[in-house]
Amino acid sequence: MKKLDEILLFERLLETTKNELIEQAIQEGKVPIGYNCYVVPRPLLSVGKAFPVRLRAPGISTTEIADYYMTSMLCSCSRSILEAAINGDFDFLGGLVFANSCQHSTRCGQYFTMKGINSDKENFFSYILEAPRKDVDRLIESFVKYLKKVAELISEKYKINMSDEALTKAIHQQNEFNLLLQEISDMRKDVAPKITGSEFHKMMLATQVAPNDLLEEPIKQLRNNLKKRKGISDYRARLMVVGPNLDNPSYIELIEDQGAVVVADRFCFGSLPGLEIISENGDPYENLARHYLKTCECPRMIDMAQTRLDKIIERVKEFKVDGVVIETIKFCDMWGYETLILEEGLKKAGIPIVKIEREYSFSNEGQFRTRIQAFIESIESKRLSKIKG
Amino acid sequence: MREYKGSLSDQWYEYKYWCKTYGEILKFTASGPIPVLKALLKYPWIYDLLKINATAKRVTLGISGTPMKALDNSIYHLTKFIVGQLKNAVFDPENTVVHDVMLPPLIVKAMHLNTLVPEAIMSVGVAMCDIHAAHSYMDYMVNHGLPADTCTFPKIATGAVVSGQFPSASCIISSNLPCDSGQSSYYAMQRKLNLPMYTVDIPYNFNEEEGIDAVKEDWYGAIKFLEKHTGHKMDWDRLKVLCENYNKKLELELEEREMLRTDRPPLAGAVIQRNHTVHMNVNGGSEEAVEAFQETYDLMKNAFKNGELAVKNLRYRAVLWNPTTMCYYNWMSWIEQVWGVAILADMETYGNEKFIDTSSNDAMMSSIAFLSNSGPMSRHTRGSQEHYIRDFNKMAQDYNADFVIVAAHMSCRNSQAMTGIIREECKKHNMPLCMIDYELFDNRIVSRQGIRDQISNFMRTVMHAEPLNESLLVIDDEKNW
Repeated sequence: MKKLDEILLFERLLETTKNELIEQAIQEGKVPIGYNCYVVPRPLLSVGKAFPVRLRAPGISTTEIADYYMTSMLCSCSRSILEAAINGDFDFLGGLVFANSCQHSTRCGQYFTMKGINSDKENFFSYILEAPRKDVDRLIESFVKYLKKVAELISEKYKINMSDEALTKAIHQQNEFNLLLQEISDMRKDVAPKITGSEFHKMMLATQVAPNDLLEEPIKQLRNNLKKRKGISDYRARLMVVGPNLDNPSYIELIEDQGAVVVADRFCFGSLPGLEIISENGDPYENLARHYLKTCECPRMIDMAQTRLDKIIERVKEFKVDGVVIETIKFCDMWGYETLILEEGLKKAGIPIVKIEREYSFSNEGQFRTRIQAFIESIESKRLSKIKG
Repeated sequence: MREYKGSLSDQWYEYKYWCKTYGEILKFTASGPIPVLKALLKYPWIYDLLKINATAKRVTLGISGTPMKALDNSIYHLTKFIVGQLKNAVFDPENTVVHDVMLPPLIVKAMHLNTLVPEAIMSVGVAMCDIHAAHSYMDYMVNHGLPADTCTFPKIATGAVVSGQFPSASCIISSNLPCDSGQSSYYAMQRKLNLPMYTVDIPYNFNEEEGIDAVKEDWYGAIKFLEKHTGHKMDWDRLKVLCENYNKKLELELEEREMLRTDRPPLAGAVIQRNHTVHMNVNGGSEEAVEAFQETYDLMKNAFKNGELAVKNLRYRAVLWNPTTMCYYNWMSWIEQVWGVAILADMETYGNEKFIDTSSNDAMMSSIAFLSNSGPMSRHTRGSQEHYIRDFNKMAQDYNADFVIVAAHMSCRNSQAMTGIIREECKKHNMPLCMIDYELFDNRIVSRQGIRDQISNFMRTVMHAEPLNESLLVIDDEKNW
């Protein structure tokens, strides 16, 4: 399948933290605000000249300095981000909003303050956003207050008008952008999907690490090109990938190199959830708080284990998935326990699964490949025995 | 064979407590032999709890006088507490609530409900009596698919529940404490027990008004939940009594802390830590807990008056950061005897100095919210780094410590993540740091001798000390459960 120009652009954008579109936006006077987690509402960081950049650590393969501070017993994603931060890879950021998503990530965020990262930069701020773990009304109210504190910080530091109207406009722009992405996402539901999982992943990653206004045109172009493209029909299995932070497209590429096509991405940086429409009626802060707490499918959310399982099963049907790859990052406790529940629930629902523990950076390729090959073969053999009756 | 303690009065005291401890177990068995026997067959770890007097023997090895009495006393009251938990599970499950170890049990008790604390029974009780029994539950979870590197504290309790070896109750009150592992373990327990569950969410900004109000509302939500699922109603008068009991204990504890800060600390180590964890936190508010506290306090006060020292050859004052090494719970008596070190405070004990406001029902609820939020394993693990660092430095200063011992439990993400900062803080304040790498409950990863060696190396190379008793540097742990 021919590589599309837009995909080449996305690949370039993912090579470094400060990619060409971020540089262009900074030159235009825009302010990049870093964030760490899905629960930090992107539209809040997209008002006026601000734009959100989700933290990744491309190019970090070893974490010596971060290991000194956090030891090697923590999730390699948080360690890699800290290493990148200490290396100065995030020195272009105008501010940082870290949600208390999981303990690894929260501690990583705290290091920005403890080590004074970017503190020499005028107006730089680092804020730990208290995101409740329940989506009940009183905690949504509390979340609204903390979101307003972020807005105050942005407004105070960068003189950005954070009025309700301005925020509603940002929500509207996000919705428009999501509708565009949704069109492409839906192409994965076809029997012959027009986009591979790794291409879609690269696009999703790019949308989270580059200013969306500068990406709108390439994505529209991509959509048009995909429409003309012949769908993929020679795959061996349609897979769904489930797990925590996955921002390295090499993993999906490796899965697809074994003859599978990844049609559903239920992981951080993926689109399930991520492309839902946010209400534009009423108080924009409340809309954001409600939306992000209700749609968050991270195991950090309390009392949602069954809902998360049900949603995966629902998506398996919606995307005609043959099997689920549960990938977790080593030392992630929440996903460690979540996997037990998913494994039991998905097996009960008759959905084939494979569980793989990995590191943040692309490693253990051989082992990963063998596990995926075996998984695909098991799906095929089940399919064959079904046909034979 | 029990060792001779050097005086007949100490020997008699030990024997008395040996009888009292077994007496509690016999009373429980006699209260319903058939259900107890059935429970013993269904929950084999009850058998391991019968080894409690052997535990008492091990913790008091080489110790006599007031420290020995206080240790015997603490083991007896721990036994009473665990027997009480078993009674709840065996004879009264419909009025019993599975309760998170990290939350104050005041609300549940005020509703005339019993608590059943999986972590207290399994991860403290069973593991203390026989660490190998606890290993089997950790291994069960790993074989069940849980990553081997997750914290063993919730893993043991979850293993007992998921393997079907833990009794059921009417419902569950859980929380997001002390960490992601603790929070998530309750999902697995709930699915196995198939009980309704209410989870209290301790916030990041725990000491702000917003955070205290949020948890207060959460507790009000828990009351409604308990009313719905157990039919019990809140008894505010009972809550007031429980809160007053808590205040009494805190008053005693604050006085104890004053004595420990002096040049002549009368007690040290495991007694302080165990009393706080069991009777202040897990069994908080109960009359039995006040009794346990009062007895220790009286022993301590008396020893203080008589000028007795916690450690016979006291050479160093130290404080312990992070939970104690549960896979080697009697290490504190070893360090006292070999190196003359008194552990005067530990992270779990150090903290709340605020009394519960009993002036109104809502005031009590606010105080309980504050208490839930400000426990060491709340404010340090769910809160910001400032509390962690401030408490670390302040504890060392308050107790005039010669050095700090950090029990670096390798599966504790929160504390592991602070390793570099703690090293830097110690350098900044010129405070010697003894960092012990180990796994909280799994002595197959770092053995007990491994823990002792790390301490001995530190004492020799950093403190330039020589052991008081060289023969205890290397001990055969084979028979030490």
